[in-house]
Amino acid sequence: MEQLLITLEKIGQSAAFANSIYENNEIVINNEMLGEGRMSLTLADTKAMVDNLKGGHDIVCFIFSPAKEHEVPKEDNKPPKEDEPFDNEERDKIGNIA
Amino acid sequence: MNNEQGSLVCVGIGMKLGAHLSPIAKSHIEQADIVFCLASDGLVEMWIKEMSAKFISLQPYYKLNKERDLCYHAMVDAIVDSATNGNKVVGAFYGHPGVFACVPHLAIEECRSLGLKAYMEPGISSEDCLYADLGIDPGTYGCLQFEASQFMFYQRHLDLSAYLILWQIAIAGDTTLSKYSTDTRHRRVLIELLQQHGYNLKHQVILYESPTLAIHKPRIDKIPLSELVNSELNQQTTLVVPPFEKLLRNESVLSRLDAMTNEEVNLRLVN
Repeated sequence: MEQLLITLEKIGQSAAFANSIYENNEIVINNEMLGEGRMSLTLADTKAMVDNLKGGHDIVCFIFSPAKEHEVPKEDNKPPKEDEPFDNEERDKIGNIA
Repeated sequence: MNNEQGSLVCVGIGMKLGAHLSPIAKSHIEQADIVFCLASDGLVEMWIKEMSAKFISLQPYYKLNKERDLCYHAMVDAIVDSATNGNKVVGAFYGHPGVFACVPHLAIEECRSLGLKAYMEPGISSEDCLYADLGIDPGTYGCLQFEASQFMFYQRHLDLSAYLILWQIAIAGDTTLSKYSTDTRHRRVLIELLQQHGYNLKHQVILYESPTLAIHKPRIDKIPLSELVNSELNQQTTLVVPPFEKLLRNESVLSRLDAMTNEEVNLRLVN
């Protein structure tokens, strides 16, 4: 497992690997990419090991919805009076200028 | 346990194992007393665990309650309790910890309210990977993005001359907020909603998934909108809707701006 994680980490950081990955499924992830003393693996073997281990995780994120509106604190960031949105009369004046 | 005042830093793991973990994020993880982790797959989780002094996965909390927001609150409580107990806590989250992730924000907010040091370090999000993998520059035509269910729950305004990105498309339309996938009925409602906004059923859209390992390619499936109904969708699938209409010039504003430019030019000539 440690070998696999190190392999995946190293090749994740390797431009040489990134440039070769789409070309040859039999490429060897060798010492040049992993560093001295590491076991070489073919890409195919690495994929097989990953497929046996990789488990999908739940990653669903929060959804702001009508059911949860009451839980959201009321924002007390009302702008100063001079910054309040134009009313219809002001909008019409600008429209006439344009 | 540490007798000093606790703290919390939420960091992003990024999307791809090895490739996206920033030096500062790695340093925080390695120096933490406890690392709470929410990763996108088991191998990424194992990788983070290997560099942690003490590691707690937040995955089990997803199944703690049927309602997901109760799960999120339980995650926040666990993180905050650890920090208030004097630990140097790191929350390591996939992608960017502040994007489509309420737990880091809530945990930081609560820690700060308790007088603890708490902050966030950004990470590379799925959105960043999407732009790179699909060759999209959001600055060219503009880009609107929504959580897919929220897009359906609320009346949103769209601009069909910009990109539209809908996140969490696999659970689109779940009003119970407890499901991890919805079905073809929900997708038909979404498709009809998009049609009401002006999109055509033949409009080519993209189903995208960012790879989490360097040995995998991104999923980039181009399909007509009509085929969304029966497409395979996973929790990490994102729907990308390219622009459907051309940009429409705002002639009145352009005229005003051109007049201003001409005035400047004339002033320079005079001076």
